[in-house]
Amino acid sequence: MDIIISGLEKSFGQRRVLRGFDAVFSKGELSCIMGRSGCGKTTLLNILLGIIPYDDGDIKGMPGKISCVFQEDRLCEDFTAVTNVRIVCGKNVNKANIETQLAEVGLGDSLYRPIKELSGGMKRRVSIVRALMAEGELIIMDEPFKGLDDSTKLLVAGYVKRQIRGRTAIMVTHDESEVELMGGSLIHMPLPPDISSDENE
Amino acid sequence: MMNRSKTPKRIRIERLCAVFIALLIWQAAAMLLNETVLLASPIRVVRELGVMVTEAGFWSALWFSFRRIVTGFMLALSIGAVLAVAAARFRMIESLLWPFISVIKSTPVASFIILCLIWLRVENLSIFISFLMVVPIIYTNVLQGLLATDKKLLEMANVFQLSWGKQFVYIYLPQLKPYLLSACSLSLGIAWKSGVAAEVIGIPDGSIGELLYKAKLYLDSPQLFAWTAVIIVVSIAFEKLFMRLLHYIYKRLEAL
Repeated sequence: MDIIISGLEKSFGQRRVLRGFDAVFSKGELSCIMGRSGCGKTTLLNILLGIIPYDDGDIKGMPGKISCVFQEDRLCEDFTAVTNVRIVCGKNVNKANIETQLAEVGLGDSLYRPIKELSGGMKRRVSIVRALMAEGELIIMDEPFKGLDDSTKLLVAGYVKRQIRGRTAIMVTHDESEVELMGGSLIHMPLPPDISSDENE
Repeated sequence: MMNRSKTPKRIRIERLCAVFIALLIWQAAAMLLNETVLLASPIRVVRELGVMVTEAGFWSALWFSFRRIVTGFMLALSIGAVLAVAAARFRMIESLLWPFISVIKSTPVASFIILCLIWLRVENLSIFISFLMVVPIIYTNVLQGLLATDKKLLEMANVFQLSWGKQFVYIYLPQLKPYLLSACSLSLGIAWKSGVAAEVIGIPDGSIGELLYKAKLYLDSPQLFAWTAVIIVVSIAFEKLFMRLLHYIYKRLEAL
C-alpha cells in the first residue's frame, strides 16, 4: 500500500512549517525529498516516525514497522558496532550476518570497537546498516550520506540500494547528485509561505 | 604559573609522604603530652591492634557490624534505585517522595538513631540507620541520571520498538554510570560512619559500637584509636572492592 499524505499541517507556535502538504510515497520504491533548509523536511520525517504529532491533515498507509537513519547517528556510544546493529534486529538475524553487512560498507576492521572510538563517517555507516537490518517495512533516511567522502558515498549508496530493494524508502537530501546516485522519484518541498527565500538564506 | 599536572605515581608518593608526616606529628604530639589517656601514640595504637586481632571478640565484632552495615547499604542501593526509576516514570511519585527525602537529608543522624531506638531492636539499628542515610544519595543521583538520559536515544528506541529490557541495558545503564559510581563512592563511607554511630548510641552486644563505647567508658584511648583505625581500613577496603566490582560489571556490559 502506498503512503498517502494529504493536507498535512504543522506549526510550532506562530511558525507554520507544513501548510497543506500532499505527497504519495509509492510502495516498494525510493522517494527522495529535496528542499531548502527550513522547509520542514525533518518535521515531516519526525511526524512519519511518530516523534511529533501533526495539527491537521491525513496520513494513510503507514506500516507498523519503521526504521530510520536519523540526522544525528543516535548510536549507543559505549557499545560496539555489532551490538548497535544487533539490538534492533530480530532473533533470526545472526552475528555473522551483521558482521558481513558492516564489512560491506567498509567497517570490517571496526566491528568490535566501541562507537565512541569511531570517526564521524564510520558512525554514519553503522547507523545506515542498523536501519537497513532492522526489518522496517518503511525506511526513513535523513541525509544518510552526510559526512561521507565521495568514494565511501559510492560504496554505501550501492549497499543501500541493494538492501532497500522491494521496501518503501524515503530519503531526505540537499544534494541533487545523491538523488541521481540513488534513483527513485523526487519530491520538492516548497518553503512555507511565512519564510521568505531571502530570510532562509 | 605553577604546573599542577602530576603523574599518578608522583601523586601516590606525595600522599605516602603526607601520611608519614602526619604520623610523625601524631607521635611527636603524644610524646610531648606524655599522657596515653589524652592521646595514645601511633606506636601504642599499633601494639594495641596487634593484641586485639588475636582475640576472638575482635573478629566477631567486626563481622557483626560489617554484616549489618553492608546489608543496610545494599538495601539502600536497591530500594533507592527502584524508587528513582518509579519517580522518573511517574512525576507524582517524585512529588510524594520529596518531603521524605528532604527530611532524611537534613535531619541529624543522632536524632534518627535515638528515635529508632524506640522503634527497633538495637541489633538491627545499624542496618536501618545506614540504609536511611544512603537511600537519599542513591535516589537523588539515580533520578538525576535517569532524567538526564539522552531524549534522542529514547526516540530512537521507540522508533525501533526496542523492548524495555534492551532500553535499560543499552541506554539507561550506560547513561547512569557516572551518577551511580559517584553515589556509591560517596554513600559507602556514609554507611560506615552512620552505622557505627548507631551502634555507639544503641550499644548492641558484640558490635564494634559496643567496644568503642566501652573504650570511651574506661578511657582506653589506645583501644579507641585502634578501633577507629580498623573502621577506616575496613570502610576504605570495602569501598575499593565494591567500586572495582561496579567497574567490572560495566566492563562486562560494554562487551555485550
